[in-house]
Amino acid sequence: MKGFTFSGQSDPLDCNITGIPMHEFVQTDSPAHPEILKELKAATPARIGSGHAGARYNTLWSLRFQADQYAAAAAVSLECPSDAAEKLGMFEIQTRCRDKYEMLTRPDLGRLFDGETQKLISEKCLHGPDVQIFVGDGLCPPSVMANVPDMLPAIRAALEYEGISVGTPFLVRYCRVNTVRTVAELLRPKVTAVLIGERPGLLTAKSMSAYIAYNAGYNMSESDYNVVSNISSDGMPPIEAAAYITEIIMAMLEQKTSGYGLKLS
Amino acid sequence: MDKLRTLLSVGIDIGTTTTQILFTRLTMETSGGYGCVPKTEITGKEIVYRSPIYFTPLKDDRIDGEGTAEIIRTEYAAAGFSPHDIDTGAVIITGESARRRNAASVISAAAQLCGDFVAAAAGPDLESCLAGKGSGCCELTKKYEYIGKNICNLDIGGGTSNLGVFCGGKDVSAACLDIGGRLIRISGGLVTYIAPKLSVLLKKHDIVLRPGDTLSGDMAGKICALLTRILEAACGLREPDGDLALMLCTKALPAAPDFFTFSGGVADCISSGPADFRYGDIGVYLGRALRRSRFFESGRVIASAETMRATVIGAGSYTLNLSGNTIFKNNVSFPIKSLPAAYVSLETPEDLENFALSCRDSLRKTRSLYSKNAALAFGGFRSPTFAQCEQIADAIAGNAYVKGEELVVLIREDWAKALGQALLRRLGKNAKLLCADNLNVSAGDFVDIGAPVKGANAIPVIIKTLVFG
Repeated sequence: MKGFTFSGQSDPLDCNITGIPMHEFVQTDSPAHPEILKELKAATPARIGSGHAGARYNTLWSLRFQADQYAAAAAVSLECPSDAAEKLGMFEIQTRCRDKYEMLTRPDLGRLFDGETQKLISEKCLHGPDVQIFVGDGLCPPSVMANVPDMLPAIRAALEYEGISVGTPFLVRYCRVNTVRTVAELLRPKVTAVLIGERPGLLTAKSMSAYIAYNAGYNMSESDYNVVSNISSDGMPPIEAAAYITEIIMAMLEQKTSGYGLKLS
Repeated sequence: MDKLRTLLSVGIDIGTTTTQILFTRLTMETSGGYGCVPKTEITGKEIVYRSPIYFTPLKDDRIDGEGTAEIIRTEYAAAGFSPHDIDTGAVIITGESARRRNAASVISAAAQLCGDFVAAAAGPDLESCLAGKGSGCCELTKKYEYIGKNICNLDIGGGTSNLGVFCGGKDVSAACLDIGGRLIRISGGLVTYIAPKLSVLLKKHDIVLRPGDTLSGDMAGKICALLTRILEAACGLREPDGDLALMLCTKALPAAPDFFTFSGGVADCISSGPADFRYGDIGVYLGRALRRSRFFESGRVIASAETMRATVIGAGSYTLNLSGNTIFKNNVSFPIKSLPAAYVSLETPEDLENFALSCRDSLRKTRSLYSKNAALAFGGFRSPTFAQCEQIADAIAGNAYVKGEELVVLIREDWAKALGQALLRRLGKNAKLLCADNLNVSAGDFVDIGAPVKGANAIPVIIKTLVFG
């Protein structure tokens, strides 16, 4: 373990307090079994081994908690960088939400596009591909640049190798999951998938989910989605998630269904 | 969304003295579902059949293959199972090394009788580990009152004592001594056999004993007290000496354990006291000597859950690992048996630089050492990027793949499916390819790989740390 392990080895004010992974973050004064504590820490990302001062957290733990809490809260209200779409090699559009505040307070608008945007999608994208994949900022914009650069090329490469056509990708700002329905109605792919930032927690503020459905549209039900969640370098590795998503998509194309009815061997 | 599946596992322990068979039903549960990647785990172990304890059939002082096969056939019939009911398991030959000269042929004959996917394994470290798991010693170390304590299981059989040390549910160290209840055999009051190493020890202590002599109870007690002192020395309860060095057949334990459990045939003679030469050997005396030993004086002996059957339970219930659920397979026929593992270092992005070269070297070395195909194994790299994964796949496809041969890659971390898809793109759909993860394989290990568990994608894998050299 590194950093200020087992109390007072270095000045907390010199440390980047969130820079130490939770697996290595320990502040218990002379633990009876340091080796076992290390194993317990390795087994869970939960906040154990915190030590205490009377009934309260130590200063350091208190600060770490607040820092993580802030990172999670801040992740929700952050904007995707303006050059994100360009870096990902795609174009960017926006839902009917005018700003972050509206996105958080009006989920219904986060799934719709105005007429001009619909036209743009229609013009720029391949119609009727086997699979349409797009990216949404969702409740965690930082997850986009953290995961999509590894996920999208992996999914594309695997699907195209199988002779499955993949539509034109794009980035949706102020995006909610059910944008899938709107996009599906516009482009009529067999399978629609969104890679979208998921609600951050204390553990990671860069985690992503994939919502995938066969024959999606306004009339689908929530149980028609298949979901892969907890995609991040701390959770399911992005490339492994991509491989798993590819397999789900292939199963959907083969079984012509998704969600509750889909059988994944 | 829990799915329950069961596997039938067989354990066969062919020891110096006794042979036992045991059938265990392993319950596996696949958890996960909406949003979560499924995970398959072994959640239950139920012993469904225990054979009687047979004397191991011997012929010219070696294990009698045909006799052993007969026992296996009889017990399969008695249990009501046929070889194709068996999903997994292990046959192990334990005990005195002299008897094991023909072990390889006995085991391969037995394995054919037992079912398609039964691993054959042996080696003193593995025995110690299996006995300690089967006796319940390993479970004990997970209990709160033994947190941070090293508990050593002494499995004392006919020819050997296997010492397995556990802490926190993990095996920490192991050692083996040529000490057992049948080092001297007696028939009609006369000594018929003295183990070669024991003869050397007795000579050293000026004890004269030859085949044909009579063995008095006093003398048996004296010899067993001597053997017990060596066991005490092996466990740090007394200073190690030349006697210990003589009787050890592996390295000594690196540190003295805190607590002890006993298993094996001799363990049963510690508490109950059958007649002196009841089994035609010195086992009863050895048990008594142990009872008066420093092990018990120190009050650090804990009762075992299983004694006599510890090793066979270990073989039947604790040899199986399950891979992760997101694995990749293409044109692979199962089972794959006794595949040696070529371990390559790939723990950090810096290791990528030499990865291609070390892949080629390691595989070439392992293949030529065993003159057969080998699996590629690595671990430590948590989450490679897409570009890194492509680079790894390039290196493997270019340096590790032999056309027409199965390419087997075993990873500790969870990205086997990603690597598998990347490899398929390079090798084409005709390639025979298996990538599995969540498996902790080290250099020198052998693996047996079974067909995927029904209803889940996980594959059962037995990792054998030691087999016949």
